[in-house]
Amino acid sequence: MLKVNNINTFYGQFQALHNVSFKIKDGELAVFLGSNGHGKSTLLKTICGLLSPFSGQIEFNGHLINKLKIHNIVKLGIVYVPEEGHLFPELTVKENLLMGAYNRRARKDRYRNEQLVYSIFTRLEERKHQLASTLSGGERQMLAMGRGLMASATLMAIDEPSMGLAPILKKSVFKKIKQINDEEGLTIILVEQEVEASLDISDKAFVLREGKIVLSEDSSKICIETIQKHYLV
Amino acid sequence: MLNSLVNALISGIILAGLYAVMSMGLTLIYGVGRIFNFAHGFFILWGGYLVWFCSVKYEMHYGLAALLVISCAFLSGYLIDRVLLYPLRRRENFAINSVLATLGLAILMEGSGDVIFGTRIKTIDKIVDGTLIWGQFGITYHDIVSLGITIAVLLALEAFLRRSVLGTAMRAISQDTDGAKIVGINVDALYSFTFGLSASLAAVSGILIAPRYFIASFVGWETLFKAIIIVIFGGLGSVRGTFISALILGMLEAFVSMYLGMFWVQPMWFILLIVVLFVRPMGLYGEWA
Repeated sequence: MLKVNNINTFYGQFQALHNVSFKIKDGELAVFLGSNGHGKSTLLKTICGLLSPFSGQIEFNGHLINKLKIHNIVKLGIVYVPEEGHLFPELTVKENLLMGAYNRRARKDRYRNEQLVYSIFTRLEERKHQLASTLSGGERQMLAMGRGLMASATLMAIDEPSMGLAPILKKSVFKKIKQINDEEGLTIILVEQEVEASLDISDKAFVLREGKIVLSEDSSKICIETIQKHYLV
Repeated sequence: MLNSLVNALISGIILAGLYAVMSMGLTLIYGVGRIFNFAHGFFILWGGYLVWFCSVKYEMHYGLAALLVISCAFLSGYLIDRVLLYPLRRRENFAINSVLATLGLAILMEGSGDVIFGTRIKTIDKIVDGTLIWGQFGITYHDIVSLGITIAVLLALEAFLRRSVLGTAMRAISQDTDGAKIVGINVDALYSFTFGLSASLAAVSGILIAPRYFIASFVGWETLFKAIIIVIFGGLGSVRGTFISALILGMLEAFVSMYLGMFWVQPMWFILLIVVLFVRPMGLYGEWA
């Protein structure tokens, strides 16, 4: 469903991605690993339209999306769950979720999706009339993912969801991601630092180093040592 | 003693309503689009100009003229954002460039207003003539109508921002622009919409204020300064702050002009503004941007 072909992305003069190509099939859970600053987040932002690639193509369900604006990409069914959450602090949890269903396709499903989110993240239902700024770190991550679910997307790109969470919360976040992938059938691209946990839940793994894909393999066939090798700078 | 107090209270409430509508557009477009619109005073003035043009020159029905002017204001606000500000948004230094652009627009609107409508000072009739007299208290029918309209406009705006999807999206943009893009809000379209809304709020207040005073090009700057003081006092970008500040400053104006004289109104506004900014530099409800 997603075909990325030779993309190059720049920040000003600095090239963050070099000829990155890969394919992801429907329903897969793919993880991108690698050290900080090696282009993982840049890759997600390029796919989701927050950054536009200098060259190369991104094809999603037959549509070329690398020149589209982000709101049109969301309409096609790709949703981005950013690392910092980018929640709306002065809106309530419920309002944040409803904003997640802003695109026209999702808007008619918003009540059903809202119930779905509450059934996966039960804490959010208890907190639904609270402002997002009053949530704890773990709850914010839940809300960010819940808001992503509201978009009725078929591809969800999640950027370091376990970042800054306590170990027990990390575990539950990974469980929820797996659950969304299995039960809701969403294709997921995950960017992570937690190598073991993300290999456990994913089907496919890629390692990025200095903006290039240096390893792509089925998650079950990868051993930790090969990945560690690529982490050495 | 009592009747002058009550009269001051009544005229304070009426002024507060006018000031709230007058400055709401300025705070709204700052909150959503981070644009400080220096042409806002001239949007208000042009509301008066155009109603004068339609109703006095072409003898159109007042209500019809008002509706026409308000929809024109929305359309031109939308287009101004699209043509003038949208290209600037793609470049660096938007904060400075947008100030220069709207300041230029203000000067253009001042000059072209003089050219198109003439430099003579214009007056228009009150919406309804006459005064309601009840014992020792008096209030003009125009003020009653204008108070009703301002309350209705403010309530509608509040309901729109709180309850509608579009209004919530506007609040979302003002809180986290990247977050708004991520959920699929077409932020550029919504900036233009907000600018249109801001311009039509300006037109509403222009239409209500013009019959109380007169219409002339220099009024644009005076109105702009008043609106600036109101929004800075309340906290730039805060709708609630602007409302409270309009209430306080409207009351202050009514009481000061009743007991000390018109001359003291502006000095008192500035004194209060300085005191508030000394204690709370971000204004009553403002946040640090």
